[in-house]
This record gives sequence, structure tokens and C-alpha cells, in this order.
Amino acid sequence: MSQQQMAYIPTEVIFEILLRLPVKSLVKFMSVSKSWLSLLSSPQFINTHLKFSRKNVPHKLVMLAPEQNLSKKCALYSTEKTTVVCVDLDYPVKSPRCIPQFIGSCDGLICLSVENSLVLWNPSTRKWKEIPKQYPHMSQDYYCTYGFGYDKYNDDYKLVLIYSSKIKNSGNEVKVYSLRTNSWKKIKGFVSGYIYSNSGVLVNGIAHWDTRPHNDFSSCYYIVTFDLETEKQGKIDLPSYENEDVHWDLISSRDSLFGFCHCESQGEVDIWVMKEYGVKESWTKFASVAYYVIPGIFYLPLYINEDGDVLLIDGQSLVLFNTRNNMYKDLQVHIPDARFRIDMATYNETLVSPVIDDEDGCNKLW
Amino acid sequence: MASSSSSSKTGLKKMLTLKSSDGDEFELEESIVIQCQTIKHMVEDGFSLIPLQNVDTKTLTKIIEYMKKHAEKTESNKEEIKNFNKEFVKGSFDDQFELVSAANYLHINGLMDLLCQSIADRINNKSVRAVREIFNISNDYTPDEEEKVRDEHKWAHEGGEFDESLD
Repeated sequence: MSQQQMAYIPTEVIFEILLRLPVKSLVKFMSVSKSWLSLLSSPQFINTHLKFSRKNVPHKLVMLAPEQNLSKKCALYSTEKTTVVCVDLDYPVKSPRCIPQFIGSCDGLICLSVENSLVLWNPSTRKWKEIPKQYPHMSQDYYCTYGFGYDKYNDDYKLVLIYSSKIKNSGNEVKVYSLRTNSWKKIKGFVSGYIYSNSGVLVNGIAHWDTRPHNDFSSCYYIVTFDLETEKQGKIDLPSYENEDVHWDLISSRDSLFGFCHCESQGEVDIWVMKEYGVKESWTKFASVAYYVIPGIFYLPLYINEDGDVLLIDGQSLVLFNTRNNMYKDLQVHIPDARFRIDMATYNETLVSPVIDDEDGCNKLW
Repeated sequence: MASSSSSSKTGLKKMLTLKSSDGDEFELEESIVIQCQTIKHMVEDGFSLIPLQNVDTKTLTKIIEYMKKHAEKTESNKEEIKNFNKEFVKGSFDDQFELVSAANYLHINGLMDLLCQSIADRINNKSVRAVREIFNISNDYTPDEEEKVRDEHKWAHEGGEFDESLD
């Protein structure tokens, strides 16, 4: 940035001011001058902006709710406390023929699976790219699941893909995609068990899947983990339920891992939190809710806020359920079509690009 | 001699002198001035007269006003400080830029944050043209280049009218 242009405002001051603007305004101000464009596109600014927003900007919750009419839009809702804002954004894949599957959200990047394609999308900058294809396993006996997050050590975003065999106790096939290298690699050896959950739940840079042992329908569920940084797998035990027909849902909220244990014979769901990460003894039950109190809890817990209230879908509305007095509050958000799976994740606006420099992206700046 | 009698009058409070680029001197308690990292380091190096060649009298007066107020900060006067801050950022863009540049040079983190956030909030809804004027930036794009960048991010230029005013 030339001194002549900025006669009296040092560049580092401009930098500090711009850090505090929303992403949409930053994109608008790329038109101010070439030097602002290069400042705002520089890795240094993007990284500092990311760190600043992680620290200072309250995270929003986004809800991805596909519309029945899949034409061109995907609704992105954000909820802060109990107010909900709905924003319609142009969907990166212009005319999908099936419902996009939400995989994960991290540092402003959202990972989706659309019609056998995997898409990385920054809804705030509207940049996106398609991740190189991995052809699905030919056998019907395999279930495919994902996990998406950030590897702090390598400053990289990674997508884990697991092919889990429904019947064979042969271990799971695992591949990891790195945004930095834009390539996949195979991971050797992976904890066996049938991983049947939708996508990995990210806590502390580690993806978690609820898992069932092969050929054993007793209640010994456990969690299979994959650390995005070390690329090491692991196992975490869930609280034991003796002789009960239960199944689990995991969710991540505020950097903690929560487990919803559905005890169908009892007609209730127990909500657990892992207070000390990785320590089985620290699983603490903080609520039990009978199905008749609120049927929605049976199928779609989305998020748990700092007061221990559970955000969930009940029919066609989003409700906040207070676990202390069993009361719930309708948040007055219309769910486009509650028959489809709806996902919720924390989201913050960033300039992080899914398109790495030098790559021939479909929507690069220049 | 004079300095020892003055320190006995003010108890154990150590005084420092700040000198603006216009040559005006301001005597202040050390405890107030050390909010400013640059001066704190100079004090640690043994200076008691601190010349600030990049800060004029008008700006320094405002900065001292800020440091004095913030040195009084306690649990009970949060609201008062908040109101003070609100008034403090009300000046023209040019005044705010003078202040923010000085805060940056002096490393007063709280003031830097206050001013940058207030300037950011004020320009958020401005048009590109207004921002060029406010920051005194000449447009170095050719018309073709500018159109290309704008086209690339059309959506960011939509959604209502942007503010063209310069204040």
C-alpha cells in the first residue's frame, strides 16, 4: 500500500479497522482500490480476521434445511439465543436432483454432499469448490459417513470418509482429504464396528461417531474417534445401560460432547454430557425427558445452549426445551419441510477460502 | 529539590511529563500514563520526560482525557465509562484517524479497539465511493478492472442503498 495514498492513516491501522467489519462489507470494499483488494485477499488478513472473529464475534448457529423445491436456494438460518434470522443464499450446486447432505461446519466453511459430489462452501464469500470425487463402494453392505474439521497443527481443513461394513467384522475403510494438498489418502487400520451415524461430531478437532459392535445387538455402544491432527483413531466408552434396548445420538455444543440415549422401553431419553473430555467416568446425566413431554426430542436434538436448554425440531417448528422445568418455547421459525433431515451447527462468518491459491477454481477472484 | 518537595506533596505518586510535537508539556501521574505500552517501556528505561514527535497537542489532550478517565475505572462506574466512550468517538473522521494513528503509535490497546470498532461501525454501510473519500484513497482501478471486481461480487453490492455521506 503506497504511502501517497494513505497520507495519514498507517496501513496497520486500516488493517485493524477492517478486521472489525462483517464479511459482506469486506467483499464490497474490495472495490475500493487494488491495494485494499490485495490486503483483503492476503492470507495474513484472512487468518487474523479468522482469529479475531473466533475470539470476539459470538458464533451463530446455522440450520440447514433443504426446501422441497430444490431449485436454486438453500436456507441458512442463524439463531442467536432465541432470535432466529433466516437468510436465503444461492446454493452452489444449481439444480440438484436430491437433498444435499450436511457434513460439517468449521471456520465459516460448510461441507455438503450433493449428488455424489462433495462441496466445500463459504456462504459468506459465496466461494465454493468441489472436492475431487471418491467413487462410492460398490457393495451395498457398506455405509458411508463423514467428518469435517480443522487440523490446527498443519493449518489445514480435512474431510474424513469412512466406509463401514454393515455385516463383516473386517475393520472400516478410511480416507482423509486435505484441502491444503487437495488430495485424498488412505488411512491404515481402523477400529471395527458398524458406524451408522450421519456425520462425525467435532469436538476439540476430533470427530466422533456412535458405533455398534458387529453381530452384537446388546447395548455396548461406543464412540469411534478420529483426530484430524494426528490422524489417529480412538475409542471412547459411552455410559453403560444394562439389558436395555437403547440407541444413541451425539451432538457437539460449545466445545463439549453430548449424548442422547434413547431408552425406548422406558419411553424416555437421557441427556448426558462428557464433562472431562475423554474420561468415561465424567459422563454426567443432566436430564431425563419422557417422550410424551415433547415428542420432538425423540428424533432431532440440534444444540444445547449454555443454560442447558435443548434446541430441537418439533413437527414444523423450532423449539427451545427447558430441561429443568420441562417447559418449551416455540421460536417461531418455520421449517420448510420437516420430513427432510435438518442439521444445525455453529457457524462464524469468515473469509477462509475453500479454493487454495494456484488452483484453477471455478470462481477465483481473477 | 523542587521535584522532591512535589513528590512529598503528592504522596508517593511519581510524575511524568509528556511533550507533544508542538512542544507543549503535560505533567501526569505515572499510574495514568502506563496504560500506554510505548510510554511504559520508556519509563522502565528510566525516562521521565517523554517527547512524542508523532502526536500533536490537540490529539494528545484527547488521549490524556481518555487515559485519565480509564484510570478511574472500577466495578461501579462501568456505565459512566461506557457513556464517556460513546462521547469520545463522536468526532469527525479526520479527528478519529488522528486519534487512532496516535493510539496505534502509543500502543494503547483499549483505545485502539474502541476507535477501530467505532470507525468500522461508521463505514460499514458506506458506499465504495464514500469510503475512498473518507480514507483519502485514489481509485487505481481502470474502469474495466473495477467492473470486473464488482461483477465478481455483485451480491455484496446489492441489498439496499449504501450511505454516500462523508461523516
